[in-house]
Amino acid sequence: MSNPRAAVIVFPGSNGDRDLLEVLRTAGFDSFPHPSGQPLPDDIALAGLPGGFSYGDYWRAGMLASQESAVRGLAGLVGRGGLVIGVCNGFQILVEAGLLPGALSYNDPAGFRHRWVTVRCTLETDSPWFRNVPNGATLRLPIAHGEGSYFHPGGFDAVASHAPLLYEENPNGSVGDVAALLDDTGRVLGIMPHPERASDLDLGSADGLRLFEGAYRAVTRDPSPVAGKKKASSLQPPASSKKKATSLQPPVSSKKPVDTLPSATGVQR
Amino acid sequence: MFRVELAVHPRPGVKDPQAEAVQESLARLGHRAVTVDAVGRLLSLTIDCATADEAERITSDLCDQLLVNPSLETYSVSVGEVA
Repeated sequence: MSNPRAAVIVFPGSNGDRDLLEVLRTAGFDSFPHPSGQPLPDDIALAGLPGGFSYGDYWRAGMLASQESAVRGLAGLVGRGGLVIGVCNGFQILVEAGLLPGALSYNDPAGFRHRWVTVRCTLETDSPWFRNVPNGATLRLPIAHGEGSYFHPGGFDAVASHAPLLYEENPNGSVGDVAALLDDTGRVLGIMPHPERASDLDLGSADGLRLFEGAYRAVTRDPSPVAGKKKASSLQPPASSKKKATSLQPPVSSKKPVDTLPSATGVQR
Repeated sequence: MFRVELAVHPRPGVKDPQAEAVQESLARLGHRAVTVDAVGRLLSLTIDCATADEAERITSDLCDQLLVNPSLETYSVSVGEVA
């Protein structure tokens, strides 16, 4: 059996693609770079959008990249049960593409921030990304961004049920200390800190790897328990993707976050 | 043929840290009488169409589809016929 395939979408101006390829490979995926201008392959279980400065952040960070062919195929991937992660600039692209609600804007106070931060998981969720990260767990991750301030016109209450990670000390003025966001299905994760840069203790932290290992376990339907992870009791809300979404659906329980992947059946690590 | 100037502004009430940063720099230069109300973006377009109303409508479509994030931004449009 081959490992599940994971495409890392490479945009003009990406600079975190190799880190993302590496951490996905470490987690068990057969990861490969995919040019943003090409349609996504049908046989992938996961797509990753790396950090960087796609199209130089021209006009609005992530806006131009959101129109790329590979990004336009993400909704179809999610509809087939696939997983998506957007890190930093990838998170901005997911928001600009309407796959996650709200907006990301200039840090408040203004300025580029690069340092280690602590984020806390604040959701009891069945999201595949959080199979190895229980509610209440903290992760030590690095940030490096100038436009990471999350905003939603409805305030934190509008996204609280979809915000799995909150900053312990808010570095950028994000509403409600939001550091990451899930879509209604729980399969799309946008995250402003860089979990792929915290995937080995030699880098200062391996906490970020837990997200990718959780995704691998979900994709391969690995039922083994994980120390410290109690069974999630309620999941994220179901599906409703719309352009420039400004609201999220109420939570609905689901025990099958990944149920229709084409290439992951029976794969064990 | 029409020349369109599209100005995108931060939505009132939305934090504008760019404006605050520029304000601080101008104050350091001694321009205490100046207040920076907003930092936005300007796009100059030429549109091949029959009327100014049509040029404005096309520009509005561009904003709705891509150029303006309604969560954060508003915009204004000025249209002039190209001689």
